[in-house]
Amino acid sequence: MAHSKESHSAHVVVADRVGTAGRSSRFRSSVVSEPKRCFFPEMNSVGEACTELKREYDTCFNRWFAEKFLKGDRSGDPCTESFRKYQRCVQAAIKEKEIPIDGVDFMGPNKDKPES
Amino acid sequence: MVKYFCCAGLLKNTWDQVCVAFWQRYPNPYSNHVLTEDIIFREVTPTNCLISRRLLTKTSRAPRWMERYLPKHMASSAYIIEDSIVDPQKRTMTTLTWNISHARLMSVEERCHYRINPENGSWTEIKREAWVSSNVYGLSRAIQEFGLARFKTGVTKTMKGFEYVLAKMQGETPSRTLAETATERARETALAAKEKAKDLASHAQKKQYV
Repeated sequence: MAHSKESHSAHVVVADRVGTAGRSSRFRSSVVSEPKRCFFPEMNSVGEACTELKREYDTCFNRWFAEKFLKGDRSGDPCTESFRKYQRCVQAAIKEKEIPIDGVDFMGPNKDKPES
Repeated sequence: MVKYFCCAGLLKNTWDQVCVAFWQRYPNPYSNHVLTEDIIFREVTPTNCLISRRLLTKTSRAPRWMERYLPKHMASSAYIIEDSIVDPQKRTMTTLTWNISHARLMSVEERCHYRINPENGSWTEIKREAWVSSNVYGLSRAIQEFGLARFKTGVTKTMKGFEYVLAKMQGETPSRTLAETATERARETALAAKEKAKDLASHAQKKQYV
């Protein structure tokens, strides 16, 4: 297949015909509070301006998910503020790019599917 | 007409670790085709389940025989939505992934169920089902074959990506040869699928001239 020519030297920047910016992974510089996660490459947001907000939120979420949620700790969610900021940005980007996310119920498409 | 596919996978990590890795699996050496990742909805339900919706953009290069039938302006990025429910009480996670662009050309839906392996409590079992369909007149069979073959290649990459991220999370250095073997196998599968789909497409073309 044409698209399986991808190589495994990471961080190939792809510029597509439509002209949107390609992806460039960048290694996050080390954060003092999380020494184990130095040099973990991260994804970009679909809204170029939202990437930092996304990464801030993801950091908060990943910690809460592993240390609280999965352990049955139902004490408050520390990420509501960072989530709100991130969502404001990314929902605007989605509207601007006219990405068709509306109109499908949660888990919607599979409702009528036959079981195996 | 819909092509159905089902397979089971195993990860030798706990269900908890797999769920944590699930949110951190991009990017990885096998996901160069995934361009962006965003959570666009998330909530904890009254029954303490985590429901999320993730939006991904992926490169969407069609093989040359298919490109001839695509409208010129069709974007070369595809948008995909992934809905998930994590139930920490039952220790299960269910995901549903489908494309919201290019859907009339080809629609792929994947449902996965992650649970603790019944034989080994430290391992995680993944049941994966996919439905591939296409509505393009005269080419739907070829497109479905292509879609299914690409999906199977994708499953290999997904599992390798998971293993890679899980290993990194535990402070191990994932072996390079693992990556190389996966690439080889993915290429072989892709080549075989390419030949089969090309064959189907040329048969379909011949029929048009009869």
